[in-house]
This record gives sequence, structure tokens and C-alpha cells, in this order.
Amino acid sequence: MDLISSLEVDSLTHSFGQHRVLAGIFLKCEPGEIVGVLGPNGCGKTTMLRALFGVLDADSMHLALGGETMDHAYRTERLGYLAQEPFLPRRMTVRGAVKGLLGESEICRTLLDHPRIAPLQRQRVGSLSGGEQRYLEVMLIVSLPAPFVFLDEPFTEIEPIHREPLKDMIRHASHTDRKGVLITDHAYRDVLDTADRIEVFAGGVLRPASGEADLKRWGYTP
Amino acid sequence: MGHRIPAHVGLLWLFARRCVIYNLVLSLLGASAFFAVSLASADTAQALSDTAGRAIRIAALMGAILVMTAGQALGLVSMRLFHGREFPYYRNAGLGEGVLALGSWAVALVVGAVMLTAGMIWT
Repeated sequence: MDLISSLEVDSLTHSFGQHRVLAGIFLKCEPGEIVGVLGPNGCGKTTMLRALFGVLDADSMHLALGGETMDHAYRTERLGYLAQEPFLPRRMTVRGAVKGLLGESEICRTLLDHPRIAPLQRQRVGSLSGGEQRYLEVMLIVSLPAPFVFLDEPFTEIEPIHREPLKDMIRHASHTDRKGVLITDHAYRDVLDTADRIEVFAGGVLRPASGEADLKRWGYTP
Repeated sequence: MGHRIPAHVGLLWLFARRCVIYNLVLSLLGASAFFAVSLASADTAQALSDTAGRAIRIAALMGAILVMTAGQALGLVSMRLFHGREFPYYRNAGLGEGVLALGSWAVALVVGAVMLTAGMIWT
């Protein structure tokens, strides 16, 4: 994995027609840090992650990875992105889908031997339940040899009993493997529990939040 | 960069294979439609026999050309329409839509060239 000092985005703006969603985002994420991004529906969380990953051309954005400016960052393979929608090809087997991204590597073997994945290896992705598929996708993305990963709603469809192991996996990827993680989800307590630092969308920009009181202050919780 | 090269080739092949299958089906439909229209224009049994032979030769040529051109373009549109949600899978390997399109088009050109050669030998 490449060692990169930090991910830094500045002046990220984007509008859909007359509706300005992102009004000058500044965000920094260090290796080994989990940054939680919260905000109401339609505030621009997914738009921001898509722009950072490089699949959405923002109106303006300055993105730097380790001081190096880039546009379509995904081409550098320094980023992993868990899309909001299920994205694994449905007709592939679990084994094939994992090998497709990770190749024949030690990481691939470790993932396939995971107690939750091992029994599913020969099944087609399309035959998995929504929760199983999501679990697999999160595992796959945090296992990528990329120094930064963006997780858009990783806890969707994950049953309570499997949320803690999932959070542990994200924490391990960040705190032990030194990945920088951006995470957003409406299961905000899980995000609060997992993240080292929280930012909340308010008026198209990000505001730092230190706890539930700040979430209320910025209008995210009642 | 480049640490997942073997995986890249596999993913590119996965995309190209599926895209070319759509391409072949659509190209076959196009060539068949041409063949059917050609036969319908013949008004006697003798004319039908002559027309069929000529139409087969043209349809074989046309099918191969379609595979290399419009069929592939429609194949890419089909991938976008029916498998668009899978694009993040490829992007996580650093493969953008441009690379996928070019890679799959290269496969379509090879398939089309083989079809063209086989068609010329056969007819």
C-alpha cells in the first residue's frame, strides 16, 4: 500500500441546476483516522464522496492526496469507494468477485477464509441476502490496498449482531493498517461509535461536531 | 500504482466478454433482419433461391461489420443500461468507462475480424 500523508479537499462546490448542494467543502483526513460525515437526506454526502472518488465532475474542487493534486482520483488506485447501491456483479460467485478485485493475494485468501464469508464462497452474489452482500462489499473495500477508503452507508441492511464486527473491521483497517476512512450513514450512532472525528453538513458546508449536542445544534437530530 | 495488474486484466476481460455477448446478439438480430427483408423481396421460387444465396453472403459480411461497429456501440449502451450499478466495482480497480470501452472494443474487433475471415472462406 502506498504511504500517503493525507487526503485534503478544498473549495468543493457543486450544484444540481439552481440547487447548490455543496457550497465550499473543506475536509482533511489523515492516515489512521476515521472521519464520520453526517447530514440529512439530500444534503450532499453521497455527492461529495462521488466527487472525491472522481466519478462526478464537481463545479469546483481541489483534491490533494499527499500533496499531489488530482481530478479522477480513482484511476490512481489510492482510493476505495463503497457505493451506496449494491455494486457487485450479481452473476459472479463470491469467490470470483473477491478475486476479481484483489487478485491472487494474501489479502484475498484472508478475506475468503473469514468465518462469515467462507460458507458463501461458491454462492452467486445475487443469491446473497442484502445484509450478506453489504457485509461482503464493506469487507472487500476496506481490504483494498488503497490508503483511503470512502464508505457510503456501510451499515445499511446489516443486522445488529453483525454491526459490531463490522465496526471492528473498519477500526482495524484504519487504526492498525493506517487507512484514512470517510464514513457516512444514517445509522448515526454507529457512525459516532466508529469515527474518531465527526463533521456535519449544515448549509452546504461541513461543521465539526464533538457529540450529540452538536448534532442537535446543527439541526441533524431533534 | 499498478499493484493489481492481474486483477485488472481479469476485470477488463469480464466486462468485455459481457459487452461482446450483447453485441453479438444485437448484431445477429440486425443481420437476420436484413436477411429476412431480402428474402421477402423475392417474388418467385428461382428468384428466392438466387436472393437467398446473395443475402447470406451480404448478411455474413454485414454481421461481422456490425460486430465491429454499431453492435459494439449498442453493447456498451446495454452495459450502461443493464449493469450501470456495477461500474463502481470496476472503478475500484482503477478502470474507468473509457478504458472499459476501449478494451471491450478491441475484443469486438478481434471477434469481428475472425467472423469476417470465416465468412469470406465459407462464401
